[in-house]
Amino acid sequence: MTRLDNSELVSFLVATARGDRAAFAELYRRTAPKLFAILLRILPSKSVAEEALQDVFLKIWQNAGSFSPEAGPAMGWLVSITRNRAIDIIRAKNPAKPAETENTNFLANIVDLSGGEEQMMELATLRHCLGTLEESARNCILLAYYNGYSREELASRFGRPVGTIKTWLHRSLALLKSCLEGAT
Amino acid sequence: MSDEPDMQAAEYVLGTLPADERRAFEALLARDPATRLDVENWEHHLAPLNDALNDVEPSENVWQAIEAALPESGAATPPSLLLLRRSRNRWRTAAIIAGALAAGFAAVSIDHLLKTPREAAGSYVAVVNRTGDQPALIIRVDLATRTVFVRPVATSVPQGRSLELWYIGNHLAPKSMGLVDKTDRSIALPQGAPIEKANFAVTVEPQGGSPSGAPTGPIVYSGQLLKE
Repeated sequence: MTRLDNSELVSFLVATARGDRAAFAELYRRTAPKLFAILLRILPSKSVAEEALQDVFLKIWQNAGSFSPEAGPAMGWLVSITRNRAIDIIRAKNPAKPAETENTNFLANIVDLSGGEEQMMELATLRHCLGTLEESARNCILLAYYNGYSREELASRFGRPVGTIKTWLHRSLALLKSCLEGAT
Repeated sequence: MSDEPDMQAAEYVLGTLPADERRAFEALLARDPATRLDVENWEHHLAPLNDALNDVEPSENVWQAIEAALPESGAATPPSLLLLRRSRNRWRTAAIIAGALAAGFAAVSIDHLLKTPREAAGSYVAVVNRTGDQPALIIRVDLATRTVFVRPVATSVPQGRSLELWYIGNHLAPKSMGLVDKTDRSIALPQGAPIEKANFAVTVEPQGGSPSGAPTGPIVYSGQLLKE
């Protein structure tokens, strides 16, 4: 896995906005495997994830002109389109349990540091800050982010009322934020 | 909603907002730059989690389907001429209305496509495109009578579903303007509805229209009103 260079991704996006198909194809080649991995975790099946990936890239083609490099890294923009699409799909359906995850020790899983130094630092910081949270609250955040769990699904998994889950989420997100912003 | 805005932004990014709150939040997002910043901040905070995921190569036919859905000409239609382009993958390309609004629709002038004589004073038109060549719907608004004329040109309705037309004035909640079929229709504008910057969108709904009174299906066409 190679580190995706932001300035390259930005140039592909700018060219895509001008209708450059070759740049768009290259953007796909570089980023689709990561975006597909995100969709596969959240969506119930591979075929749904493939459809969603098509939707995501058509949206990228259509909206490339609205990407602004000042607002953040290109990959972040692509990831947010991808996650929003996935979450819209699962929230639009009747509550269906996401596939049970193979492993509940999420924090230990966040160790695949395959990127560059800055990326490693960011991940290490996030990992540290997640580590300061209580385990249940931390797992709520990770199940939601990685697997698209709703408040209701978290409530049933943890055997707590939905209101408690919401409180956990808000409290732990606030702690996470102050840890992250204090650390950087 | 009494929740602190930043927590809503956090839960939006995390994905835990229930569908109705999510939709309301997206409407807010479309019009409030401060909310946009909160969301970007949270996206940035949580983004490193994605680095921990192992890449998965999608199968070859995904790219083929994407490529096939791009417009036929070599160059994309410039954004200023483009309304929401309809996907070749018929009823799947979905966008929540607020999301599509946030992306910004552009209007297109198509005087030459309009065969009916224009109204004497103040009329607006929205052309709702398919692929950039032929419009799927032409929507005219006559200000004098506050009437909306809808003329389907090349719409096709998926089996067992209905197409429903929505009026979206100034980021207000979408108001149903009824179903779209093969025939021309005229509809009165909603009471007090603003015209400036109004958008129309067509969504795929269960047969007979949205059961909830709000759009539930993907947007298949959309367009913004343009003063003639």
